[in-house]
Amino acid sequence: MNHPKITAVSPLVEHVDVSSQLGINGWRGVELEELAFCIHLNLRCDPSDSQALTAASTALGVALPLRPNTFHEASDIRIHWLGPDEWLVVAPTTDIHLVDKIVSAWTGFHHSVTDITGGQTVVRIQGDRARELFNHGCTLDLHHRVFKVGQCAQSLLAHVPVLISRRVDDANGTCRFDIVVRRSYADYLAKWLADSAEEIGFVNRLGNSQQPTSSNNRSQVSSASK
Amino acid sequence: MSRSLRVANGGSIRRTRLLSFSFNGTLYSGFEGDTLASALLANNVRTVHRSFKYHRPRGVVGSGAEEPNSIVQVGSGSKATPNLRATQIELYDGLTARSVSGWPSLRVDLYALNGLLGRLLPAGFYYKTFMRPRFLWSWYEHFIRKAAGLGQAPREADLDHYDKLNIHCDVLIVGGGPTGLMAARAAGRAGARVIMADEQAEMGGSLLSSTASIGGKKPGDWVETVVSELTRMPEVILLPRSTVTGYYDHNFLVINERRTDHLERPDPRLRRERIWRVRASQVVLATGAIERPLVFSNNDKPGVMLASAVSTYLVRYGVLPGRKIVFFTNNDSAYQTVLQLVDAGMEVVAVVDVRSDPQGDLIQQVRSAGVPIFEGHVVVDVRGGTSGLRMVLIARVNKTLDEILSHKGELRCDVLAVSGGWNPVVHLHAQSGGKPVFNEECASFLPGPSVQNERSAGAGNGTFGLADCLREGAEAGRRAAQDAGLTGDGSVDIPKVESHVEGSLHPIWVVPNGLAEGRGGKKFVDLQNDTTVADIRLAAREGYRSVEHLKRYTALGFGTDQGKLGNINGMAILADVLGQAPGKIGTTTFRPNYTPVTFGAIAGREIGSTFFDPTRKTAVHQWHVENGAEFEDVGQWKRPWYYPLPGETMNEAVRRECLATRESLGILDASTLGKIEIRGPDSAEFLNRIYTNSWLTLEIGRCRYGLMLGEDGMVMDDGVTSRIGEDHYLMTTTTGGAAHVLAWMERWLQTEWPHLRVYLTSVTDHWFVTSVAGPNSREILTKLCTDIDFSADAFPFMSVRAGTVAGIPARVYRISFSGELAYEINVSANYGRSLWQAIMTAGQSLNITPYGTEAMHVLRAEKGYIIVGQDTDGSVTPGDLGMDWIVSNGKDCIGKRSLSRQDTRRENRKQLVGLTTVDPTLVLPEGAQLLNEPAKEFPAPMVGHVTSSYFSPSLRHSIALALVKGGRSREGSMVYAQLIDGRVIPATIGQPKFFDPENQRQKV
Repeated sequence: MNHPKITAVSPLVEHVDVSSQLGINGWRGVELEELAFCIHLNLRCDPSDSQALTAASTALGVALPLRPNTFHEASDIRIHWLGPDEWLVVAPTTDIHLVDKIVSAWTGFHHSVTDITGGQTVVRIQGDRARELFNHGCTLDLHHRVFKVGQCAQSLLAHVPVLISRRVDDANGTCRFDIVVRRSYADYLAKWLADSAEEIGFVNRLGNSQQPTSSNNRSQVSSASK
Repeated sequence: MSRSLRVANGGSIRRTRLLSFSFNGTLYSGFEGDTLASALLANNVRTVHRSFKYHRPRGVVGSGAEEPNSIVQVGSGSKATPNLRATQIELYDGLTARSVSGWPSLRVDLYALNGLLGRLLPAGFYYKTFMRPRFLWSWYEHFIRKAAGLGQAPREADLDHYDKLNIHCDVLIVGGGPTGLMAARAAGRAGARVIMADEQAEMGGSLLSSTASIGGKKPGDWVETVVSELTRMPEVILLPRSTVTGYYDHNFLVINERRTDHLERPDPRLRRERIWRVRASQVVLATGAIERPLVFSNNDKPGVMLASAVSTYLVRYGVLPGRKIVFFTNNDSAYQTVLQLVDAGMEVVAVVDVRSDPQGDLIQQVRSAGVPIFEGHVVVDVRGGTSGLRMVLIARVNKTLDEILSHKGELRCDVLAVSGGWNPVVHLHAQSGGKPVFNEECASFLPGPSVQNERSAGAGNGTFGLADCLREGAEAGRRAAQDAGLTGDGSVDIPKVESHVEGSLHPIWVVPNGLAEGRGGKKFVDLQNDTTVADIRLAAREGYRSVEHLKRYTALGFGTDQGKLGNINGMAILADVLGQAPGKIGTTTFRPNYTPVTFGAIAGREIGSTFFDPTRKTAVHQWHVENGAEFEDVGQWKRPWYYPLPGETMNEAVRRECLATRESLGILDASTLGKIEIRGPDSAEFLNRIYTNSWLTLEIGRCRYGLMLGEDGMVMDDGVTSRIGEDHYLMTTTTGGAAHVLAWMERWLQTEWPHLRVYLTSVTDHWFVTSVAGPNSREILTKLCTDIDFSADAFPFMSVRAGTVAGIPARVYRISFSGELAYEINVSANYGRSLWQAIMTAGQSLNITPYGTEAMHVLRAEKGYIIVGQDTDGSVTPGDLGMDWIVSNGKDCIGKRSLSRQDTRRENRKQLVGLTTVDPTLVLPEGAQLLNEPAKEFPAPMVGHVTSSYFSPSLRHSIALALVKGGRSREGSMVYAQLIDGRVIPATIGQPKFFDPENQRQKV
């Protein structure tokens, strides 16, 4: 039968009740933006198995980071260390063969590749006051002397589990963090961010992330259940 | 009252900005830069308070956090703040304040009769008098509380916003006085991340009341130079109006910053107060010292003030608290104030010094200024009323200061400035775990050895000379930065200050008045709680020998000021009575908070329905909202509860949703169930250990229900797990248990079974899940999906298939929680909304009806399917649920051994049963207690309780699940639900299955 139009909807698409707002003294302390529709993959393998690690780097074009709380990145893929044998791949890409690449590279190794694309999204927070905004709800020390470019950390922001990664050093002018947040919490977190930025002001670029489905995007489930 | 006490010049107030304010309904004026206390004094307002117990008139005593008397309520309506210290309230135009005590008014207080009855109100009076009869306490309490005063909390909702900020730093400096400023300068220059907090509106501390030059500059100019250097340092944060209220473990400190209260019309976006949660590598406590009052007869009269407060009011606020001032001291520091007054051309009547031969530079200067000094004298009593002092009576005292030698008559004056020495503010040091040590030289407690990464410096460390404070501050800052790992050069030049030789202090804890003990005017130790010397002595005689017991018996130090003025005197008096050294007695425990913190600040933004707790939403949440759903909180999730049509009650909506599902087609958003991917060659073995039943035989494409137990054998969680591939399973958990189950399984894998090759990954948020239930569910699935064969043979109950539903890749599970033919469709949550819309469109002709959690509960209860956490409570075994069949005999699992304990095997455990009420229309309340017969007396023996209860629209009678002692063997017998409103509802015990007991419908 004929199906109605199929549309992918990002977790923050319905976040319509928050609009940009100047802070006191006309400040625009931070910009909030969603990096919607990245591919998110959870990878597990034995880190002492160097063959598996090599196979993964070859397949993904980036080595899996082995140093705790760091990420490696290439042009269209970022791999975060989550635990001694666990990584998160975030790929702002339409490379729908990514899953197949890593799964076939790891054939024969004890591993797990789990597509969690629908389950989380990336929120980018940048601006002079970005760190201050985090400080309202996160107890980590995100000062650039301590939390450097290339580092990431799993913690709570406003009681919500998040993965925070530092993208640009605020000593160089801009301060930029990306946070990975679960879909179900995204709306709450966006409201919290807007509320916490009441004083410092913010530019809101969240929401309105809809993307008509190309036939490509449909491969996720079938490949995940291989 | 009309005479102004403002001096012509001086002070750091802005005299061009005239502000008007009201106190107890009277309008006054002050200047920008005033505090409420300085403005009241300038307006010659002497009495600001009535005391706690005796309702004696009280005036301003101090000039900061130590103030025990001028406790006021500021603002009105939602803005009202009770119990603020007038000495710390910055004046703004339009401020309204009133005293929190005094009835009917401050000048005439009828409760002051308590003062005449003073001898009948000894320490422990309330304990002794109002304990019996016990039942009258609430009646007594009403009057005692009213008499005691203290402010009123606002009744309106607080419209202001408060927030919190977490911050890390290398060096936290507490106190922005000369010591703190030097510490900040040194640490800042070394490159440290510095936070300097001071409770006052501006940095400077004691320098704000000082006239002595520093580094060739006026004190104010020097402070400004340092502050501007610090402001230019990018890693230094200066926090004025910020009290460090608590010092906790791991160098975690809390700062309460007051951000808008001093503003007349603050920007509404500004948060009123902020709690800074500081994790400091090193802490420098530059907290200064508080002057100690002297304890003599009637020492509480309005007009008796601390000498240091007189300095502050004169130098900082340009207010002379009196025209004729007498000083009473046992040390040199008060002479500094005398000289300030003399320099300002004011009259100082005399200095009464307990020391028989005081020596020191300042004393010589005062003497040469022509101010009479009564050496070896004391003030034995004062005379005065609500509008100030009239005179003080002085007498000659012996060398040991405990006997009056001769009365020497009176000195007429309106203010008596007293100084009994200085108490270093050791509160934070003590809160950090340090033990203050008594120091004979300053007759007070000094910080002991550090327990955490903190160091004290300056007056807070017992170092009182300015030059020494500056040096010690710089050194503390430099070393703190070093210890925090900074390698920058933290050296600073120490500015030159004039120094003078000081004589030593002569401690005097109680000033004799020449009368027998207990005679003459009361000698107050704690002004806020009206604790007197006689109270402390009585307590000691009655056996309260520990300082902690003394505190609780006499209320010494129990006020909102926490005894900042009175405690040391009180402890020393106890020591004296017991014949011990004060150092032996020790201090009471210093607890957070240093000064009171508002509830608003403590709560921050974590209030109300928006931010109290995170909320989780499913991918089609907005559709539920648009279609009128009422929501239920399940864990943090918002789940549709029911979808009322216009005009429909909840019961009507639930009935309609249940019947539509049983008769045709219902649709449920089931996304919130926990989902965990389990992969690896040992997955089946792992499941075998986690679940009670056997998993080794589950075929690919099939599903199985599982129950997991805690180690105690009690039911912990349940759900359906399916085998997706060879080494690949998907587990579902309860909505609320998801996170715990994942952590629980990870714990077993990582700590007990690391050899099992299994990986777990949460996919709860990835999958959008909708359950399509009812006799027509197969029809709609067939419409929407062409690549799965939905025939009963090809796709049997309890199996899973992959395919494409409405053009979206999907996993389809044939499982049922309603007892109907049902399918659960799982798609990537990005496509959840599209899938839901497609099903709703395709289902129109089948009267597809969205149903919420309430209908879901009714449908499953009709089937007797349990909900873990509702029908179980952590004390229920599989056997209690009648589910022995699910515990495999052929293998072990977590909790299995506990099932053979005596207690888990006993006969009369509470067991799950079904209940039907004799009156089919009555729905038992969940939680109702069940009895074997209507209660004749209480407490009555209880045999069980109702866990789930609903009206079943399909069966047209009420149904309930209950846990009843030995319930399974009592089928057909009666129990009685005894309700709180007195009703007794009889019900019959039956099987916990009401609808389609043969499970025919879900298998068609």
